[in-house]
Amino acid sequence: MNCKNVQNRLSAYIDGELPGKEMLELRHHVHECASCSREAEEIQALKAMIAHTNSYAPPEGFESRLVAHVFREERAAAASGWRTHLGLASVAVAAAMAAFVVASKVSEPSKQPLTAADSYSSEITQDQAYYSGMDPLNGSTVVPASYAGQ
Amino acid sequence: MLFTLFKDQAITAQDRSALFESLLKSSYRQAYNLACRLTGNPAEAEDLVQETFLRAYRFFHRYDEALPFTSWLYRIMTNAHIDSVRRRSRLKTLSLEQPSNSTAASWELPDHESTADRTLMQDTMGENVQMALQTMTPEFRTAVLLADVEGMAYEEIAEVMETSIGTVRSRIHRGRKQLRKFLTKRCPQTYGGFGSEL
Repeated sequence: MNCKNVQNRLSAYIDGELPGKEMLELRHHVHECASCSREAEEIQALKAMIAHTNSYAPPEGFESRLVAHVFREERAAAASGWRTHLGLASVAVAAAMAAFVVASKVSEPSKQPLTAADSYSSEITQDQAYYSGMDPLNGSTVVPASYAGQ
Repeated sequence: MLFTLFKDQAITAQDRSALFESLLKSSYRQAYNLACRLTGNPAEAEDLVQETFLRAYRFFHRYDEALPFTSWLYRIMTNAHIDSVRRRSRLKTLSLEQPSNSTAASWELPDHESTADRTLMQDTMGENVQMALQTMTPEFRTAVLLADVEGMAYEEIAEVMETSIGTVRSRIHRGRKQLRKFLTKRCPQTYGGFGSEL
């Protein structure tokens, strides 16, 4: 096992990402070889440096901005949908009410009361028809012809 | 019946939104930290996190709960970051030959006056590492950060980056090599030992 070959796998060795047998081989070589041992220490130091540098915290108000950004489209679409539904519902209710009113007017029976004049006029007409020998209700002869003039 | 169906669908969509919001609130800080490391810039990090969560929400129906949410989220973030770097040629990469005394001027950090930003700026070691990270390709940077900051196993990184374990191993090895080379050249007093074998 030469040093070049070992050093190409040192990162994976430090990360514990080599198969068991290779791990043992590299451990043995690193223990024996000063140059590879130093290389392994440097990789470990770099890894620790990257891991332990200060982490970034999000700025004030970022959470609410993020939530607003992510749900913006959906909430805008929902608001628009409700407005559309509300508009359509209003139109439908107005149309239904108009139809009901029209239907009521058409189907309502005429309830105009008879006046006194109408009543007298009808009676006079019926009397005149009777005296002329006709039944005013069905138009047939009321007095038989054989009795006429008696 | 139709009304019940619509009602059920509405409840499911509501639950889905509530679940996503809860996952967002529990993971956005970690995601922001990784985004800062990836972009090296809080303003770009904010954009990256927003883009990541927006994409995640659009495709939330495809999320497999067997996978940790952060792994799935990082996959989206990694793709978004690599897309963004490739799309924008104006990415601020720093040359290895850049003089060391221009550090603060060349690293364009918006003044958010947040404790974290100030701490990082004051921390020379962290600053140099962050600058070194920005000289790398997004693929190398992502692999190194997922391993060293997030502590992910190579298999998990391979899943996040949608590549093979062999590629992850190579990216991490070469990425660390580049970091050491940068730090040795830039700050030989501090990192003199680094890269002696390079």
